[in-house]
Amino acid sequence: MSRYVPEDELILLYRKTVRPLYAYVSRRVGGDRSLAEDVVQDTWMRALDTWPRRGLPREPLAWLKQVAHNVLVSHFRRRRPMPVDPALLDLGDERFSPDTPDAAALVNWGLARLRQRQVDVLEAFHFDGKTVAEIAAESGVSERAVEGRLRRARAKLKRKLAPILRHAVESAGATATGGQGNARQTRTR
Amino acid sequence: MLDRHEPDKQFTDNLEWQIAGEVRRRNRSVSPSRPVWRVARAVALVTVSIAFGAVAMGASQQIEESWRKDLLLSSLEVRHNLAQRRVDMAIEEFQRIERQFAAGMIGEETMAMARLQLVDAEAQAQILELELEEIRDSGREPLGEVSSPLVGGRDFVSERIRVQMAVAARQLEVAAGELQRMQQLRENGLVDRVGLTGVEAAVRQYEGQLQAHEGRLAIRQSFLAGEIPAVEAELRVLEFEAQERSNTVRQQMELADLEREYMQQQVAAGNVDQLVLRQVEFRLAELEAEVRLAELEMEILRRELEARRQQR
Repeated sequence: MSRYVPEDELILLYRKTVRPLYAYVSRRVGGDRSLAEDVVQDTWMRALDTWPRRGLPREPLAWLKQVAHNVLVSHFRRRRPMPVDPALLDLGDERFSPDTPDAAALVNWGLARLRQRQVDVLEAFHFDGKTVAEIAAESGVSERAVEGRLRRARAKLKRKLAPILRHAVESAGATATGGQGNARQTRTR
Repeated sequence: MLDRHEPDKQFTDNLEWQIAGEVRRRNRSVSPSRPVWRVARAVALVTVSIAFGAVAMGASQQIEESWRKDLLLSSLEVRHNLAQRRVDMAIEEFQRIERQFAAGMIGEETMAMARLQLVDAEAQAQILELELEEIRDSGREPLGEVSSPLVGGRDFVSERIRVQMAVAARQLEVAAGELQRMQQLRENGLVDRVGLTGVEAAVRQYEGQLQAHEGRLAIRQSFLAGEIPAVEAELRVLEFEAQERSNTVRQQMELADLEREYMQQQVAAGNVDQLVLRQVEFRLAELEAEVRLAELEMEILRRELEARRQQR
């Protein structure tokens, strides 16, 4: 049941965490402002529901990021993404970056269907911009092992996304032959 | 220019404002949880205050001009000044949003939220103003129980309840407007059943809050008219609160039930992990337990009230 949580304490915490939390979410949604704002707001409302009942977490930012992550996973699981031109999202390239909202939606949809260990390594590398050495140090394995995990996770992601990317190519081809121009991002749901 | 992963200042300010308002609203309604403990505490408090009422009133007369009253006044004045500043900020924010609304930049929903925040901030300032007056008149901390005595013939408890009622009525009005809007969207197929149920639950929650304030006011009037003794008045308030809690949680259960149905379909279609469904089911079980606790509390209160009525 609810406990009193001092307003000043929460506001200070909010001011301290809102920027890193927003950046965390924004990187995962390809900079889609409207979606990032919705997720940050939803995350904070969940914090206001939970913290008075269970007390403040030891690491509030980590807690907020985890909840935001769950909100995103739930969001992307429910929505089938818009197909993206494979040329804009070369999953074979280890430096690929889902930096548009549609590409991020597609990648997240695929991530929601992978194993947690694969998700963690892909997110750390592609969304949080960590180096292989940093991920290796954090997870206590060798850099070579991290590279292997990244490679396998990317291949798995590519397989998961293949039907949607193929659909994008077919749709783009159909549009082009239909004389309506070449849509870089074909929106079919 | 903003970094694309940097939040907009207007967004962070608005969210901070929303969080502060939400925390204040929740802190106002915080109460101890275990049913038996709550009832026992209410009875003990009122019994002790009746037994020592004369002494306490005498003491409050004596400290009227003392350092304690000055300290109480000073601390409340600080809070009151802050509340006034909050009202000023809320007015400024409201005017800004009003301009945006007139320019067609934002929708009715945001406008209504801003109006609500303003009403809430004004109500907080009014309540603190009443508390200041009560300290000045009584020389002690303000009393919020329905069985509190009048202060110099003035009923501060009812005055504060009326302010809270005005806020609850405004919240209900806004939520009802939002429900109407959502119903139209639903008819046009633009929102799903879950979205509509969420707003319906909010409307019922505000209706419940308004009824709870009306109930408290009625109990207060009965107590002042000498129709019910102090302990009974407090127990009836607890009964009202338990009923409201039970109603609110039941509405949350309706939503959670819809969510479970949706997740079951998603799991069957292989889109969602079984774990997500289990989390939703656990939340539903938690809510069921909360309803059961509220019902237990009501049962204890009814028996206690019945026993007291028979003793009268």
